Amino acid sequence: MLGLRYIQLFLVLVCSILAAAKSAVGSRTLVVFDDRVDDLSTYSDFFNLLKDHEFDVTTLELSDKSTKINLFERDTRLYDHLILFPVKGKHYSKQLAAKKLIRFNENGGNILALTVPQVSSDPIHLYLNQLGIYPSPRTQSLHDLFQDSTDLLFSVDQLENENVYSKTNEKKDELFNFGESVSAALLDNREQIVPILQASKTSFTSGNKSREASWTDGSQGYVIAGFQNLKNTRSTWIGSVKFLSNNHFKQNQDLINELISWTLQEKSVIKATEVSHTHSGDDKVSYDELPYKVTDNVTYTIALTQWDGQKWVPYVSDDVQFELRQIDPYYRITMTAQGPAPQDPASELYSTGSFMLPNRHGMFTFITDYKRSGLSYIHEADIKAIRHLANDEYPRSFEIPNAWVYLASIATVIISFIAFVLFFISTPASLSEGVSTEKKTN
Amino acid sequence: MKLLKAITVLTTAIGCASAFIIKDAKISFKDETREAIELGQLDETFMKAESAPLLIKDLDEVVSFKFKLDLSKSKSKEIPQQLSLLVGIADKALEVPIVAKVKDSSKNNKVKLVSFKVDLQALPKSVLHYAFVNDNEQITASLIVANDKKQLARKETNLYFPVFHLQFTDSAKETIVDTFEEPLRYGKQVELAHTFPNPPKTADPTLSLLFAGAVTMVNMFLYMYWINFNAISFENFPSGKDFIPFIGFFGSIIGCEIVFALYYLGTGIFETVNCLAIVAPVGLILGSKFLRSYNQKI
Repeated sequence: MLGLRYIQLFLVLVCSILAAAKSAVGSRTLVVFDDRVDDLSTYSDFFNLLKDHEFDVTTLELSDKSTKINLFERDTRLYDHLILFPVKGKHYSKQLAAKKLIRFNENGGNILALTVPQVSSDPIHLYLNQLGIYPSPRTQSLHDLFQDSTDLLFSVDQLENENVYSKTNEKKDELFNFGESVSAALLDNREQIVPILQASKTSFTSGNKSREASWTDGSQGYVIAGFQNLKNTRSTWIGSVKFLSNNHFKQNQDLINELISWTLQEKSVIKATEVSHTHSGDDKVSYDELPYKVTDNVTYTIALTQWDGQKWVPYVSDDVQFELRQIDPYYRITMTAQGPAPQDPASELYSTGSFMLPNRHGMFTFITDYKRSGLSYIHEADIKAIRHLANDEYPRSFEIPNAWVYLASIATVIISFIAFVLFFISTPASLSEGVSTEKKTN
Repeated sequence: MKLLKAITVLTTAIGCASAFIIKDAKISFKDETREAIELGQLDETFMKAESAPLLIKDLDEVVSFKFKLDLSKSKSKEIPQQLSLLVGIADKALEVPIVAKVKDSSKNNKVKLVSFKVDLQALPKSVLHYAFVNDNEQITASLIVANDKKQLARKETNLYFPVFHLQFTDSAKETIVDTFEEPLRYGKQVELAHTFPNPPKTADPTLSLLFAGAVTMVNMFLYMYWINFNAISFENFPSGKDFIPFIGFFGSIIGCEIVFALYYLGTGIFETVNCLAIVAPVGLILGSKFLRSYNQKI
């Protein structure tokens, strides 16, 4: 009994820590909804969760045509995050056109978008299509005739990205309830797309018209998908609005929590804090002190840190790679973790160890291009010139065995010449005259 | 284990029954010389999928799968809502649905004639690629026959089970051109290291030393020859007033040789020129003076 209390206390503590997580990029959140589609009060648990995450939530109801949506004031972004509930009508299409959403996303704003089969939210669909996410058209909803429940349930096994939702043994039996009306999407083949929740093998989409071809069949379809652009801004699409409703909130809370954390950048956010490369050796002579030349030994280091919702902590991984490129990579080295960085203990230091620069001069890029699905991207590049050898930096001839014969010849010629001069001068001319040259007469 | 399986199947059969009866199932091929395979009646317990795969010798092959769908015992007499054949690599969740062609039986309107055509050339390149490169990856065809719960009686169930596997023969793999390229995905890449050219080949140091010694020895023999034939004498060694110019002349020759050797060993050209500018005039002046005065003695 006492043990149970301790477990409860621990869970409350964990929940409070989780709930207090903060986004790494900001908390200003705009929620756009339409009262005609759904009553926002049925999502109170979701909004409470946002408040627990310390998001500063502003809601905007769009059924009133006088409502205007301003995502920017001049060129300054007014919100850090945008949550789009299904909204219908031309007014909405004008106010929140796909171009505006793209601009918001390109300028660092994260977007969580929800669609339902009954409502045609054209701007959201157009925006998602730009990302490579193609939700089923209006009227086409997902069905799985092999499920007993009228609501569509998805298991933890169907989740695909560990950086969005980490599957632990405790969570393996969890089922997520998406309600009756669910959209499924086809995904493009882009690397920036983060497939999150796959539809079941026996599922399919169908519309009102019996002859209409299904949009997705089996595991082709996805009901949740994410996208992270090259500026590390995230977008997530959820194919059901009921997934967030109070009715299913308790069942889906874990996944909702993780989706909010990922989309609004509370988790899986990493960055580089220190990048350096020096000549190998204890002195660590920098490039500025002594520019690199071909075949020099150099060492490259980078420090990575991760946002845990509260603070920056060292990011530890075994797949951080360095590349030395001149158009194509000459080296690609998997770096080894060295422990906390001396300058910043909240970062993990990675090093290539000593490696020899190629025997080719020119402009080279020292680059860490660390991109993993679901993690924020790291692209640290430093372009440096690597010079060729100066004429006095090549090996001297006396270091080459072949030349020893020639060197010995030169040395003996020099010595012989000096000796000859000495002998020529010191030997009297009459010496040769002393030698008998008489002809034999006998 | 077999007993347990049998009990499970029996329990399932007693508890629930399929809403659909699949009869006279048959697999045939485009190649008419190849004999069709009669499967008979099929249900979830159909175990043919575990048997040997159907061997495909040519990418032109079209596999037809036909059966009679008996709806006489099911609640709904309509064509099932979901009637498709999922074809692909099941383990990789890489499957495409093939839509059925359905006709009414001429004898009984509660029996539908269902046929699927698996045109291998029409399958996605990715599916064919994985079937080519890995013998363990077979193309699986799974049948789905399902209706909405409202259209099923209380104990009726839907059908979903693998019907057959396809595998390319080695000779087929040799003739088929695989043009599929894996899509780019973020992840750890293969490590690369620059390959340096081999250092130029050099002679064995022992051999070089041997030849260098031989050259030195030849010179030693020359000196010995001179000495042996009395060609060397120091009788005429400059002395008196000739001594100083001789030392200057001889020293400048040695100096020039040393400057040359130092240049060879790495001294800069400007330093070398400076040194020569000192040594050479001294050698020239003292040398000409000495040689002029000593001319008669040589």
